[in-house]
Amino acid sequence: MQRNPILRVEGLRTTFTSDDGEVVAVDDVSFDVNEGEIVGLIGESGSGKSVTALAVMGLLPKTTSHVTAERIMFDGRDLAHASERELRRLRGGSIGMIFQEPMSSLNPVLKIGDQLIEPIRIHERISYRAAFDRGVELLTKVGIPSPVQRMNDYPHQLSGGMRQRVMIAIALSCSPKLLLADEPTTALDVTIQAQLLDLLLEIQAETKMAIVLITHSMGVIAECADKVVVMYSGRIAEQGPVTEIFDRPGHPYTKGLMQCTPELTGNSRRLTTIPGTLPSLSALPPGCRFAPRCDLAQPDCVAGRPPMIAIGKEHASACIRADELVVSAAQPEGAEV
Amino acid sequence: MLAYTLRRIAQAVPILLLVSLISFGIMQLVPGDPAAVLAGPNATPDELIKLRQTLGLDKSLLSQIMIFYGNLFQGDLGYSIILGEPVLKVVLERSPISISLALYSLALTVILGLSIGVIAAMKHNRWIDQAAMTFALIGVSVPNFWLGLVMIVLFSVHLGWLPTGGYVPFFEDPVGWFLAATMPALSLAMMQIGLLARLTRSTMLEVLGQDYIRTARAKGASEPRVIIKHAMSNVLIPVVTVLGMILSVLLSGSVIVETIFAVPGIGALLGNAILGRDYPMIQGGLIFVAAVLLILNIVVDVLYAWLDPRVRVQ
Repeated sequence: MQRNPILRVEGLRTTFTSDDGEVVAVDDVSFDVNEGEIVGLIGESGSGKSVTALAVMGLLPKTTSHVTAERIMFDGRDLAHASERELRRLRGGSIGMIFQEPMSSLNPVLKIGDQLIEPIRIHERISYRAAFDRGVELLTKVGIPSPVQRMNDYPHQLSGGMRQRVMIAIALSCSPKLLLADEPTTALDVTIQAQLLDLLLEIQAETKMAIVLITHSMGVIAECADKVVVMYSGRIAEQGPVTEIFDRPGHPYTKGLMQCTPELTGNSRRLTTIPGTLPSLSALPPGCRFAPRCDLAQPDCVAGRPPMIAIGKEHASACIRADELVVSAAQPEGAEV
Repeated sequence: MLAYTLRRIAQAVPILLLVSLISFGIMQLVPGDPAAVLAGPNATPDELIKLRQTLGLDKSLLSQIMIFYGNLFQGDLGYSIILGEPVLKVVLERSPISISLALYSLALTVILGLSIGVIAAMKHNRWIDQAAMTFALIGVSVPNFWLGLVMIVLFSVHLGWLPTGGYVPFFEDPVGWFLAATMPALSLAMMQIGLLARLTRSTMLEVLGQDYIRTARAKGASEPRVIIKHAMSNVLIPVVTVLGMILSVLLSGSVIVETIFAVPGIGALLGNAILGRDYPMIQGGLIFVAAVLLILNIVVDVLYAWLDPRVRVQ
């Protein structure tokens, strides 16, 4: 099925002013999100995933950050060159967003109900009564018991999982076409994480909205996503359909991420770790930024920025040895090990 | 909310008892014979005995306390030695003057302090921010009596815009009251404006960095909506907490300012009582001011709970 992109990001670049001068947090990032698709944005903390999402929304502080892009096309509009007023109309309306920290993402002194119906009241001409009823409906939909009572509660009266459900309800309140979910389950207990992911998938199946799911867990990606964008140090390392990426990873970093993920089924093995840490944004290595941590690095890797190489249908990797990797993955690996 | 209010009122009772005990102790703490101090070196022994009887100093300590509290509960704060009138009557006459001055100062503090702080935070690190913080620093550093004198020289003597002092009852002549009270209120408020502006600015900056502000923006809320509905509701919590303290400083600070501007308020009254060793007046005034402050602080605490839902449950 050929689907149209609802979000097309081209050449997104984000810089921050810091004590060390200007640092580039997101460097030339391009990806598509098709209608009704779940795209997983994965990478370590500090790889630029959240900044990418916030840049798309225009939510980065204007005083300390600078966002440029060739184009950020959303639903026929170019967000990169839109006015603040146009962006405001989309935020909370056609684009919903969920954040990582449910404990601090709700205003502590306002009632749940007031916070929930706020986007409805901003984006639609609707009476308080009608908006309230819709709020109750939304709370029911996200699985909150006694929703009418909860509307009059304050955030501190709710658990973390419940608060994140409220955040989901807020993001869904104006039936968005695109949901940006920034690590929505990271701060929660494992059992709650699974419940909330199921809830998101359920709602997605029903509403057919597109989701950009930011996470650092390959497990979450495997369970939910149609497509994966792997980010490393502000750049895209690899992107492609989820089955392709898992079967034939074309970047040593993706492979490393997969080997870091424990499996419950199959052979027990020692988890492999990726040595080292993300480079500091103010002291980036030349060429491929993953090269200093890469087993397969060779002198060519530091020569220049590796281009995105197509290695399959909609599958591309920014590794000059991608072809070799894909070939080795296709062969039965580790039979003798 | 009602239970919380009642609890706060109940907590005020022991404080008031303690204050009254301290004010009773003032008479006992005077070195030597208070009657001798009061009557002065030229008093005859007969006069001293009479004075001791009037003050009840000839009785035992225990019966003095009993009489003191017995009178207190009947609303009798004793007689002023200098004015020869009941302390309560004098205090009730003078206190509206001071309270209206303090409330005017408070209004100036809240309006100017809050808006300067909010604007500075919104224009963080720009010239407006720096100008606002310089103003706040001047406000905090300049002593109020000096500011009062400078204002009198400038606005009364040179420009002739405002009267040098005195007091006009508000209900008789609101404009006159306003003209007479502006300089005293401003010189009282200046330091508090500076403090409040700094507090508001730093709190606002902290609040603007919170996740829930980002959530509000992600909902498509406009900037005024973000500031007024989402940020101010949180900024006001610490601000209201210090309002109680600011009020007590405004009331007690009026001793000096009332003297400079010749305002016949309770501050000037107490100042004169202290200089004239009018012990019953000092005692009564102390208890009265303490009671007013306690009531104001209860109001502030209730306001605080109303603003912050997390306080109500504790």
